[in-house]
Amino acid sequence: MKRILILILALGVLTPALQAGAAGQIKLKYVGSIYTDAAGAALNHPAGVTVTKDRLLVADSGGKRVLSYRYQQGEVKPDQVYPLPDMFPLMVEPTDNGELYVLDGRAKAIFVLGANGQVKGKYAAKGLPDNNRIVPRSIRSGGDGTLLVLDIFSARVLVFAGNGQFLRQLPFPALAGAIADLTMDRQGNIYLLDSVQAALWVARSGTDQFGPLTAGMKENMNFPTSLATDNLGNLLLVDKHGSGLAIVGTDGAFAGRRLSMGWSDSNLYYPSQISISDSGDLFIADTANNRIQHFNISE
Amino acid sequence: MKSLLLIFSCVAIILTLAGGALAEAKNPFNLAPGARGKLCLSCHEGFKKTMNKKFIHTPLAEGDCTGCHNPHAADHGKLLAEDATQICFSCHDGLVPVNARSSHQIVSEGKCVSCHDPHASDNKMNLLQPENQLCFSCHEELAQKIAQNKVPHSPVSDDCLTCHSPHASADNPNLLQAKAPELCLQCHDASKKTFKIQHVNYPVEQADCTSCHNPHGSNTRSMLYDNVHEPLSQRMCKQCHEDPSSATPFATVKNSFELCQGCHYDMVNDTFNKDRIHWPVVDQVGCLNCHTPHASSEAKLMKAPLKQVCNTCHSDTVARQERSLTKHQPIEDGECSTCHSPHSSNNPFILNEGSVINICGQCHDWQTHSTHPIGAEVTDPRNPNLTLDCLSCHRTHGTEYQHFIYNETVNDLCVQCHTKYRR
Repeated sequence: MKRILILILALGVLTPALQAGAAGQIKLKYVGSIYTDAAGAALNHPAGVTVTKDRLLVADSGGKRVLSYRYQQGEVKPDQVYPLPDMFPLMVEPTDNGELYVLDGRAKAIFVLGANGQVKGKYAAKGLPDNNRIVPRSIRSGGDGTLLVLDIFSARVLVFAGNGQFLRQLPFPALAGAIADLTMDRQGNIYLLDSVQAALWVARSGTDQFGPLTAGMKENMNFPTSLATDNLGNLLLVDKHGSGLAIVGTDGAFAGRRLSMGWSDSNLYYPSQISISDSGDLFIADTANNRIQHFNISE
Repeated sequence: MKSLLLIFSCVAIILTLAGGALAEAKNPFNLAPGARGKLCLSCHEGFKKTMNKKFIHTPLAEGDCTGCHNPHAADHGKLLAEDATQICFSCHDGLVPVNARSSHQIVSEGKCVSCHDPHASDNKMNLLQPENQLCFSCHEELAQKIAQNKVPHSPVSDDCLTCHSPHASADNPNLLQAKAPELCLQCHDASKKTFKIQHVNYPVEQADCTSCHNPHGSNTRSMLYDNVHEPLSQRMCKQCHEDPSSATPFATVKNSFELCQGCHYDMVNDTFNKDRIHWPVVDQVGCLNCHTPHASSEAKLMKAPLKQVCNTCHSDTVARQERSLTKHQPIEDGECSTCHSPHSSNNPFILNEGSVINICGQCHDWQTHSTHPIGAEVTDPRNPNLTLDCLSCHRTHGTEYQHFIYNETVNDLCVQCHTKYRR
């Protein structure tokens, strides 16, 4: 019994240390770059990228279209092109029924695309608690069919069920600067990224309040705009103005930078968004380089 | 009796020793009478003139030069007993409260002699010049503005210290003795009928007066900042705020850009009709992230000079320019909007133009036709989806290298593409 207790204690002490250590040991292996769609047309300032179990979705903002690629066993192959001439797609997220949510920067609204890419209309949120305007800055699938919307006009995170029914809202923390992105990890914790202060906030699963995860990390990054969690729960931040990635451990400790500014493959030039697959493939919307970059994470 | 004598003797010895220690503390060099100061003046004759001044620093007045100077040798200039930036604090400690909200930079740097003569002066507090004259010797730009004001604030010409503390302020910004409105209400009576009429019955005695009024004076009636938002100059506060009789009279009738949209409809429409928005425009603060709603010293009701406003969020970019070996003139001049459209744009980086070459060409015309091949026909060898333009070689906000190129030498830059010349 005593030995078991000692073992549990040792694990309790070592696990966070090991996790923090793992954050520092993240290695990125360059896999490839996506420059074109199926027809060979070049990407144009893609601001959004999202990977699912079998698809890679790209918001090709300057091209005013959404691109879908088949993603199987770490390989990416061009598939569908969904032209959206009246939009400026910034982000794209899948729904459970094969449709897509598209965040349109021009209308500053979320649209729903049918399975074949036709625009079905604006996202219809139901049962909202108030009539306050919603200006979505970012959207993320919650993993359980929910949709998370970062509403910067009313300073809140809105959580909707798959059918658009309002579930709950979480107000931004009072001391937040400019919240640019959000993500939810596998445990259901919701993270907010503050670009101006380069700080992270977290609302633990089951709570509706954000608290600070980190202090400002301006000395380590310039202007982060997007974040995602890897399989160990580490947070990877896209430092847009610093053209690189910053890694933050589960405990909020800064754990280093990866990649650097440049135009050649594996370099970044004002990247916008990051997405990580369950198998550890990492995709970056390398916006000003007009491409999507594909890396593999080894930890 | 014996024991009483013993106690008395002990007390006498202790008192004698203590007296000796005190005397030694007062006279650490065990100087002969007169040698602590009067003797100094016998050689330092120039001080006789100093001693005739109206205000003499207490140690000097008491003839105690050794209060600051070591008569034999010292590690510091002028035989000072301590570093010149520290010696004043050995007596005048507590001038800057711990965790002071604001402190005068020269005080923090220990440059007391920038304002005070350590020996004597004809100005009170041993100041080098009469108060305002002294302040304006550093704050020249402010002095010029104040001198040109058609609507002056009388305390400003009387004495800066009416409102400011010269050394530090424990709780207030800008070295203020109190925050607005408390500070203002020390002179201005908010209960007067005229005061209420002037402020359209809004309880401004609970608000920040400096949101509308320039405390240093201005060229606009009522000492408003020189650029006044029209609803304010027309006293149409209700256009944006709730009724003064409301429980929340200062609350706005709408939020963020929705409030401004009521009048600035075309501008907001134009902003929204672009692909890329500058996100602060549509957040919970909206237009007021950059603009002030009432009045401003800056054109277009900017909160501060443009570069300062941009720096609020983009400090990394402004800092890069500060560090850069070569300065980019528009940034140096604080004119970010020479290249960027601050509300929205259809172009990357919310630039004013779609073509980077055209933007740069507005100033660097010669380089648009006599330069390395650039333009839509010239593919970047490093990336098939890019064509070469000015940004292929230069980072406009600056780098640590000359001409804000990305590499230490021009050679290093060229071989990024011309790989066969790499060594």
